Amino acid sequence: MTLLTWDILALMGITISFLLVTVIYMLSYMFQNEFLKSWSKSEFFNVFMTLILFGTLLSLINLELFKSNIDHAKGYIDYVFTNSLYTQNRIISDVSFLSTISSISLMMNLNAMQGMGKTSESADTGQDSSAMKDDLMSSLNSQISLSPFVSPFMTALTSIQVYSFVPITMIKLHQLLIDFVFNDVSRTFPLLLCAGLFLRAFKFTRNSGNTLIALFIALYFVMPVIYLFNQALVNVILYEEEEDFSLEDLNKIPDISFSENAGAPFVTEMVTLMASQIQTFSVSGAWKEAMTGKSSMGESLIEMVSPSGSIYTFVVRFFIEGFVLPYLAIIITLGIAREFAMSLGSNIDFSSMLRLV
Amino acid sequence: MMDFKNIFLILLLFSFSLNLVNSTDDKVSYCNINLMENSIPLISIGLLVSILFVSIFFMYGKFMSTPEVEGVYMVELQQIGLTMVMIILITGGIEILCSVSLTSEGLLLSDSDNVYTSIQKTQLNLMKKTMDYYISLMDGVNAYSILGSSQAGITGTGLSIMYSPVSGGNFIAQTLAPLGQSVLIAYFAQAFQYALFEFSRSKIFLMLLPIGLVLRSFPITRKFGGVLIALVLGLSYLYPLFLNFGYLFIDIDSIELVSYPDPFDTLTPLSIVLTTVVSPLFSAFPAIFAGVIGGFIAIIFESGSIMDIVDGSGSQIDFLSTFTLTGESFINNLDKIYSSFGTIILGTFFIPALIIIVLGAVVRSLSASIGTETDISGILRAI
Repeated sequence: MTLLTWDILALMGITISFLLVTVIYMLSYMFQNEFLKSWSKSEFFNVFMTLILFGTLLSLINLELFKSNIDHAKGYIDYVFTNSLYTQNRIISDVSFLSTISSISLMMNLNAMQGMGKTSESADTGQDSSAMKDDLMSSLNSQISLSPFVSPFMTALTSIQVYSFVPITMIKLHQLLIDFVFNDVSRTFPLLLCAGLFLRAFKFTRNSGNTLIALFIALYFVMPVIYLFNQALVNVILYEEEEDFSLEDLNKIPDISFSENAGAPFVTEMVTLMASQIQTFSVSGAWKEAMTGKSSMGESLIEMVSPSGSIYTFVVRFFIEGFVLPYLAIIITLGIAREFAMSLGSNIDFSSMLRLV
Repeated sequence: MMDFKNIFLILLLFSFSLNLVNSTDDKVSYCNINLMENSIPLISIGLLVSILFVSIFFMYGKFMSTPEVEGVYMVELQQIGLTMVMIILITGGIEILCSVSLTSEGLLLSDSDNVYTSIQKTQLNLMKKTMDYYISLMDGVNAYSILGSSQAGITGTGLSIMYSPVSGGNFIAQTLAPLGQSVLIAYFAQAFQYALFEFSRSKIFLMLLPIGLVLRSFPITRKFGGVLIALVLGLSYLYPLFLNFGYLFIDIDSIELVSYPDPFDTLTPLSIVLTTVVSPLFSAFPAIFAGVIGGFIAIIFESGSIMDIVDGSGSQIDFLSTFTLTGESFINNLDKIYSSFGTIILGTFFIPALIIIVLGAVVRSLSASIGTETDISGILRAI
């Protein structure tokens, strides 16, 4: 078994293509064929461009600037995923708690309770106890369950949980995809680039080579910068009003602890609010008042939606940072990849891939 | 003139591809046959006949002083040259596919392992892992549903209190169920891709190459013939090569099975305590029972109660982690679930989509060189 590494393959492709072009150029003189002459000249130019791309891109990826960008972006996307995971776990645990409370039901059968006394009396008086038992069996129960008090909150949290499945899966896909691409940068010769250069060296596969090279450029050089921009955007939105917030904090990745994450204040406040309302035994009235913003609950909810509130933080952290911004990053990256591909000489349509994302 | 000049190219490729089909096994692969050895005599005869025809045309043009006929020879020589290049490319391509496989380190030259066997192994492995993952996911849904549906309670004469101690299990089951649905769809997509891969390697599919060449000889069916040629070249040769490349991007071993709590381990101790200790105690002393119910309600809802403490400290997770439903272990489990799911989606949908874009570009260039502008991206998108 012999292993030809990707960098050797790229160089081999360029060399073989170069040799083929020279042979065709020679034959074009032999046959006095002007078409072949111009074709081989144009091919020679393309092979030469591929060689320049090989040198330039392999030099650029080893620059410290891009490496640190990539490390930071990787850390950031890991953070976004972990944050989303903790938020989902928080929702699951809170709904589980609510669900346990909701499942409590009390049953009372007054006839049976009275009958317990009567049965003992009938035993004393010698009456038939079986008839009494039949009466007890057919008597009605009074039952009360706590679920009506909890269900509005559970429904709301369940809906959020159902929607959270999509963004978390998508972030995971981002993480897996860029994990491979960004881990690959630790090598001197990344697979995607070398394969692209190899394919670009030949006429038939030039378009696909250009696609891979354009994807490589967009993923390695542009996408990390978009992630850093996203992070700065979220940090400004959430922390700008804090006194100690400075420009240096633009790309600061906060630590996540198990009990403190974007979801924690939101769900805790929701549950606390619910507990306070359950004590009044008037959830429906509380919701009505909340809709009109007249009650304390309404005020609390409005407060939570304000920029310093927990719902606002939750929505920004979980949906905007975890779903909208990464999606935007993919759109921009593929858009730029298309531009790069066009500048390399191929018009590649990434729309089907975008639809899949 | 245009139709006539392509006839040699068509004849040569037709005889070559028929030879290719004949030397292929019924079931699988273009490998294990010596293509060059089988094809050289036929190709040589075809080339000689072509050159003979060209020389006849040249002589005829000269003798009859017909510049139009005389001019044909240069075009025909180009076509013969192009044919030779195409035959070399197809033969060389097959030989390469049968003796190399792509790894993340580079190109591996090996007699035992090749692109086809490598893809076959990866696809079967991916399908097996996906199905195992689906089954473990459904087992998880089952286990969490059992937990969620469990009821505990105390019943005295005329009074009872019932609750579901781990009813959150239902909620987790609801979270896992849609994942299972998506995984099952992914599994069928993988099965489709595998079947397509096997189909594209079969003898019957390879017959499309000579059929395409024949159809290409006639003006009316020329475009359709070009599509068939591009389809065979694209699906039988280039698709496996690019797919092999695409699979380098995923780590199938990272698909881990879902771990979940054993419902009976959790519920059995609870039910033993309730049936052997608590229930007889409350049946014997109904007054205690009534007091417990009242106290329970007070503890849950009154100020300073469990509810307030739990909500105030945000320690629901700790509370529930005693049932092994949440907590750090559940987070790790969720992480594994999403990692495995992401790998499956990446390998089933995302990578093939990328391959199709790259392959579509190659086939367009290739078919343009053959003489027909063919865009098979619409067909490939179905993959």
